[in-house]
Amino acid sequence: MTRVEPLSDELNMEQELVTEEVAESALDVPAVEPIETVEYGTGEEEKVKLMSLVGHLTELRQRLIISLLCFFGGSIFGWFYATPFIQYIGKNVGPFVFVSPSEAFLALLKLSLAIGLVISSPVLLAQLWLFIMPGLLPREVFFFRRYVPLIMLLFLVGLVFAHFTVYPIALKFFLGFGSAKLEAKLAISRFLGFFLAMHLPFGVMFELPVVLLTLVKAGLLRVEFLIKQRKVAYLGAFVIGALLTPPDPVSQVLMAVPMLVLYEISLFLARRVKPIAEEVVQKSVLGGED
Amino acid sequence: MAAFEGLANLEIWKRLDEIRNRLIWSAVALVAMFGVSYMYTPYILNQISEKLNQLVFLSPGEAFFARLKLAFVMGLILTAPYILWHIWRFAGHGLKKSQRRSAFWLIPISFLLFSVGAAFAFFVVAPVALRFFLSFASTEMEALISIQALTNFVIGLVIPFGLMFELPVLMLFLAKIGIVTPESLVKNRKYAILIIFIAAAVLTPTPDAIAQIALAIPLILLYEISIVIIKIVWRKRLREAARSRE
Repeated sequence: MTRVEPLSDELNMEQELVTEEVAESALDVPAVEPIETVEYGTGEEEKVKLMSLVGHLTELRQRLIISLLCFFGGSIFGWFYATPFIQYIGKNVGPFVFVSPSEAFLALLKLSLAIGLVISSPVLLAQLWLFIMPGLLPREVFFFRRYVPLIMLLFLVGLVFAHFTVYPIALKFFLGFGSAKLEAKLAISRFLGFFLAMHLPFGVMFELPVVLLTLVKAGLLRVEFLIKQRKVAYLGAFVIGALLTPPDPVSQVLMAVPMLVLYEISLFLARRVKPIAEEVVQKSVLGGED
Repeated sequence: MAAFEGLANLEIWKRLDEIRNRLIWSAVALVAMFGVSYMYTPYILNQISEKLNQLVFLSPGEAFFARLKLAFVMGLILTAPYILWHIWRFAGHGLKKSQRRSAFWLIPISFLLFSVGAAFAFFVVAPVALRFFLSFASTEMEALISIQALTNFVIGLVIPFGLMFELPVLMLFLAKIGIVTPESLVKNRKYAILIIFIAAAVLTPTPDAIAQIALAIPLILLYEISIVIIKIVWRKRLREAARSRE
């Protein structure tokens, strides 16, 4: 089977290549530089023809053009949804104001670019994936297949979590200090900054299980260590909560508590994870007995 | 004693004395113009905020400091020719009479060009840009422009426009010392236009294309006018050179 400049059929072909069996056995195959031929150890020889440098650049150019077009298309689409979006986030906040002349225009512009980025992100990620995938080893492909969707899902869960629990609580808390004499007139650019600061860190924070489990799997951290250092981890959660959120104790606590829960979930899962090194040793010992 | 007299008569002491006097006079003029400008700041602010429903200040000192800043910038612009004249008089010691004469018009012309640019920014560009930005006000986003932001916005338009309108002076100077020729200016017109657009984008305070285009178009016109003037000067100089050869 020869692959020459795969573009459209790539996905199917890779699916054929990476069966569970291949991926499992690939773990203990020493890393082979894919210079000319790569033997996957399936018995059947897979010859990978390398693309020339110009071919790669041409592909990169095409993918960049496609990505940019999608991004701009999404942004133009986003321009029409920027105002409804401001309406939506301003439901309980009252009308926003803008303080410097260009602020409203800039806020709408940035918002439409952000919407464009979100809308086109599937295309952007797919383009990135299609560009780098031919250069990956099967086990790397396997790794990406398995973890990237998980990472993205966790990120989204973090965002949704923040939006429906932490963000309303924080907003209510802060706006609670308003009174008849102290009127909330929030500048749109500052509010958008606040909105972002109340969401994005939670997306990042929800990756904690992935990070911890990866470290445990790689043998860099031991579960016992994580359990022993729980106190330090709790302190760290509050410090990170202070650093990542607006400088006030409320959002700090609102961020630290879910982080602690995530830490415990990670510990729970980490107990069931065996470091790769151990696996390899076990396998080789078993292999020796055979 | 004689040694001290000799020292006292040295040229450098006279020069230092002169610098001191000129600095004092410049400072006095600056302070005076600053005071006069401060009186006129309400008029300027009225003129700018005509298009606005309301103007607010968000920190206690903001209104006062915005007026001070405006007055200082105005004072600096108005005093600039006087200060430049002092610099010119001082530097003139080292120049020949003919050189001094040829640069005689430099200060008034550059001041005039700066004023034209600043006035264009203040009376034409600023209102148009302001109207554009305020058109994004809606029920979700009310315009509550702060005086500081507005002052910075206007200063950020006026100063770059004034400075960029000095382009003909710069070009004539470069032509005079022989760095550019009419031919090279015509040949490199493409690059000049590109540079003008980039400079206009960098210098104007907002990321929209309005101020940029409003700055770039007059600059391109000035570029063309400068080329015509330089051609005339060039031809005259060639004729003189030919005559002196005969």
